[in-house]
Amino acid sequence: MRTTSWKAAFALLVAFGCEQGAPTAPRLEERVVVHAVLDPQLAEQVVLLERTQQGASPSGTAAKNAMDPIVSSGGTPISGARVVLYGSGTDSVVAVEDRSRRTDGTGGGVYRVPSRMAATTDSASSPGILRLSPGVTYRLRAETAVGTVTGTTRMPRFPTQLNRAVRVFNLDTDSLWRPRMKGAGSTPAGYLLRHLMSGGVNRERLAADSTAVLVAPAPLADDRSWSFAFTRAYIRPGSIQRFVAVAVDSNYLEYSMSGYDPFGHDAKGNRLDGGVGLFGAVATVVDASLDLIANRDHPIEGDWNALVSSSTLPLSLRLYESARFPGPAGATGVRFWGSARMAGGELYLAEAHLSGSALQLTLTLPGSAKSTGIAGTFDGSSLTLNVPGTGLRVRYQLSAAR
Amino acid sequence: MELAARKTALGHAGLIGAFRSDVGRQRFRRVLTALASLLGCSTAILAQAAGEGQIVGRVVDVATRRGIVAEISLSPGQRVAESDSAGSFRFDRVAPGAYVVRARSLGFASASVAVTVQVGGTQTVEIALPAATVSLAPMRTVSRSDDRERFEDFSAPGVVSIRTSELSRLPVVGDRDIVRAAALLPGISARNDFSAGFNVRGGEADQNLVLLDGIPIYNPFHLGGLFGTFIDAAVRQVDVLTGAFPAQYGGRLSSVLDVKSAEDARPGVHFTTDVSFLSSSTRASGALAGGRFSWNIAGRRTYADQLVRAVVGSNDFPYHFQDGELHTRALLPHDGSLALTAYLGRDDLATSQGRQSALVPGSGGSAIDFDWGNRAVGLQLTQPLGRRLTIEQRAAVSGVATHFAVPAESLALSQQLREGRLAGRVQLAAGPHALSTGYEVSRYRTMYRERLRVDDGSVLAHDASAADTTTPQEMHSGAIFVEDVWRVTPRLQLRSGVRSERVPAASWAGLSPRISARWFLSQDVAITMAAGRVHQWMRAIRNEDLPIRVFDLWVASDSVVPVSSSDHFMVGMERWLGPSRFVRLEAYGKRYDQLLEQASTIDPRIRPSLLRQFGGSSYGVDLYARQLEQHGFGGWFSYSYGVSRREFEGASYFPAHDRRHNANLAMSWTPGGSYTFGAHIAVASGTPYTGWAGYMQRWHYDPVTGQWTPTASGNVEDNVVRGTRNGDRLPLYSRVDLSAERAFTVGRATIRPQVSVVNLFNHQNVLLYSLDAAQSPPVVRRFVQFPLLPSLGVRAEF
Repeated sequence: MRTTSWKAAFALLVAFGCEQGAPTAPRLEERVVVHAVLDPQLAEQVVLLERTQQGASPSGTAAKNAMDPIVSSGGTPISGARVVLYGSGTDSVVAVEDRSRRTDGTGGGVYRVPSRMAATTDSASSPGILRLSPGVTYRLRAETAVGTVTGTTRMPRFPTQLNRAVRVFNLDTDSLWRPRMKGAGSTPAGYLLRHLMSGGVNRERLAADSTAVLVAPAPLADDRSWSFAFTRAYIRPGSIQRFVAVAVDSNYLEYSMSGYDPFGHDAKGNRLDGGVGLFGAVATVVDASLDLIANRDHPIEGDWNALVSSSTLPLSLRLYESARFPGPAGATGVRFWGSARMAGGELYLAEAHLSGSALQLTLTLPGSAKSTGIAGTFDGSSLTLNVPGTGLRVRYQLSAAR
Repeated sequence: MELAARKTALGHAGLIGAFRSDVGRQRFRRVLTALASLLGCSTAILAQAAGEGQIVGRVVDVATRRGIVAEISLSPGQRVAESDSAGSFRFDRVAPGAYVVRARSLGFASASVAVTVQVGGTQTVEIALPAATVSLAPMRTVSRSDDRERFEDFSAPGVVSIRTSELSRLPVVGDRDIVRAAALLPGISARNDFSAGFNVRGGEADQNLVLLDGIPIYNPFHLGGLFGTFIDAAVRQVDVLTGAFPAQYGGRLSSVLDVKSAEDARPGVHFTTDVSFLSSSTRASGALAGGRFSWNIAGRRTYADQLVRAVVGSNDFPYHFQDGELHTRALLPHDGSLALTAYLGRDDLATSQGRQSALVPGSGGSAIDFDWGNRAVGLQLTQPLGRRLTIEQRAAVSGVATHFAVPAESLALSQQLREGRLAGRVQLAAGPHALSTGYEVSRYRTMYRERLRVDDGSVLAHDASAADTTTPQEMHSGAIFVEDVWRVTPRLQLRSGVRSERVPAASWAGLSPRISARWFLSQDVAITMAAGRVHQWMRAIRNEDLPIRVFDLWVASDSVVPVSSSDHFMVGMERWLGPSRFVRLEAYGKRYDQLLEQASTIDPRIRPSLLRQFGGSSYGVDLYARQLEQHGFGGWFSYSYGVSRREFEGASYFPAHDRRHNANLAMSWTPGGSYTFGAHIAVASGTPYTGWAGYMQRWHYDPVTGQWTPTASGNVEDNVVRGTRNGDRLPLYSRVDLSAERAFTVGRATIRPQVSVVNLFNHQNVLLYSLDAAQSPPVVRRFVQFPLLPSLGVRAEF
């Protein structure tokens, strides 16, 4: 009897104690994924609808076909959905799927709504066209076979006119400010700040807090006092650079900023009901292309033109020096930055170091790590560069312009 | 009497001289007798007149010759007298003859002397008693238990009291832990084995007011909530108030865990030492000045770090924690008392550069400094003023500090919180009323510092333009309360009170009414109803979906962070089935408003303006069957059914601590004098967790180009889509723990080795599921809670 009891107890112990934690297949629940951001700069607003994928994790492959972005990037589009965008008051526009307008069956899950920018909600309405006005709350409703998704967003306040013309900007004296705006949406959740240099070199930051000063003059350029301070090392006088500030709503901000959360729910930064993804709004408030210069404190600063054309030397050369752009000068000599245009039209970034009368010029093609060194002299009024490997010299003349 | 006797003797001699003849003598005696009778003279006169004698004497200590209070018996005759404090005694009207006078006194051997009483004579005796040890017959005293006292006096609704002496007999995980043991009580559930934190009747874990002798303790946990901070031997009792608590308590929404320090009335110095595989603790205690001053000091330290270093020779387990606790009480004149309590605890985790520690898997070999801990000190003065009035005054300072830094990564997070609290209460007994009124003023200082590396390569780079964020808070709160416990009739008791609270920094003031009633259906059966509102303005900022609680960062209410509130309703019945057994059934409902949580479960950075604000409710039933310790057997059975919901932006979900069913059987048995067996059986339904919906591509809209592009994320986890918040539930939880302890004496010490086995059947209780997205197809892995875990420990008391 006692032996039987022990055997039973042992069997019970084994039965409970041998349970193993073997991996199992997840029980996945299909959901609607929405990608939609309202942008008044565009004439058409796009809503992308697809299903969550059940198999292998997507690797973010680029869309192979711009006309059919979801399918060509490996996604599963949701077709035949009723997608409606609601504006202020009773305004609403039904989006049309690309696939329904094409005969080749592409464009599944891509829904479009024609739109126009309107300064106020009082602007005349046009049937079938979504008016995008600053400070207005918009709603999205997508009824699909997988489920119904709803979301809201508020359009940040934006100027209806953007000055995109290239402007001369003196880094020692000039400031670039965000336009001041009032009313609903005047304080957006954040700003996307992008700095673009020639050659497609971009740097950006999405910031929840941003000062009104985008670029501050060199004497005042405390990094805490201007928004584009994160690009200070790349702001070089003597080149044309683009500064873009885009106001974003809280949905866009949270969707973009949320970090991975192993115990969270939905998707990172999701604020949609019934699905996951993003329904946000952005508005460009500054898009400034600035021809950056600085005060002429040194005789070498300015635009130099070659008196003789050479295939290996710049046809024109612009050099400037600024106290804090792109950073502190070296221990010896003076550093200058700028650009150089070759005879073939290529534009190079130029960096020069002047020690006494000896000048060392470095030219770099934007986006490339390869650079070319050129020696020369500067005697206070005359700039001469040596043609590499030949012993020939080319003189440059300072342009009177600027 | 002596004077009267002397006068009588003198008169007698004179009269004899005057009347020398027998006739004269006889006539004189008759006259004297008649006069004495008429005048009511003393019995001595009468006795002597009747021919009786007397015995006078003294009982003394044979060694010191000091008088002893003793019982004196005279035989034959069986007359009994008692000596006074000088040891003197006498027997009057003793008939002439031979007698035995016997004296006995506690602490002395009895002794007797033989005397012969002459007619009218006085015998003087002295009885000397030698000191002797006296063995008394077994005595049994019966007093009301704490639970019975609470039942009859209606101290508060929904209270569970457990003495640590009882808790310490239960199976343990490494160390005896009163906070962990408290989670076995009705209405209380621990989130998992790795968390000593608990949720009370559906409330969040930071809604529990933890008091040590009235001093708030903010983070009463070690090692991410695995162990409680209190040293078992230094604690006498734990009271848990699970809802609608009296008006004297405020500042937390769900419960009060009132921990009372142990006090030692024994003279001399006594030690209690616990040694386990994890840590050692020692408590020294005693009493001075005849028990008018008691003291108690205890300390504990874990030594896994030292063991690993000694065995392996490296610092692969660079973590330890330590506690120190001090409690003293001095009795003052007129039954007053002055008590001092101090606590100091610290967790320390420090890895060195270049060494990857298993404790911090993500450290990447960087040096890490991580420490946190509590400090608290408080003084309490209690002074009765007369028979009906008592005043109580408390002053306390309590704080918690957390510091986390990875110097190589320029990453540092730290928080300091300090509360200075002044509180007082006046209690007045007035007939059927017991009135109390008091105040509570607290000043809080919090300092949260965050330093992040901000460059383009940092994952945190986009979050802040400033490298440092400092969030200081300095605020105070004030409260006054009044409460009356009114015995309306012998069957009905009514407790009503109100608490007026104010938090100026949040521009908030509110009333917290509390009312409860108890109706006695009979001497042993009562029905209780209670309702009340509570507020909370200090809360730990974290997301409950995170299953492990590492440490808490506390944020006070201010212009951005609102004051949270909760309404409690409760109805219950309690029935006593004897002097040591009762059953209680309580149903409750709670409503929460303006709770706060972080959007992320793992991001420790605090942004008060980005906190989620939500509300919710919970309801349920708690059953508590209690067997108070009797004949060596004691324990309880608790069963709780609870439903909790939370609402955020119109959506409703179950919070991660929503455990529907929770049953615990805890018992201890001491069959003989030396062995004690303990058992704990737990069965509970699984808590909610968030499952998975699949994957998605995180398309990115570029406002500069106006183009949509699929984002190429280097981390596949970024593309995981989780399911509905807490839409799934973990499987059933069950655990059986056993322990055995034997007590034996070595010299003056009592040694109690104990062996415990936790999770005897090695049930694979799931802690969490994790999706391994790197696999194709993806798989779900599970992580389990405590496996079969034997442990040894020993307690020595001397």
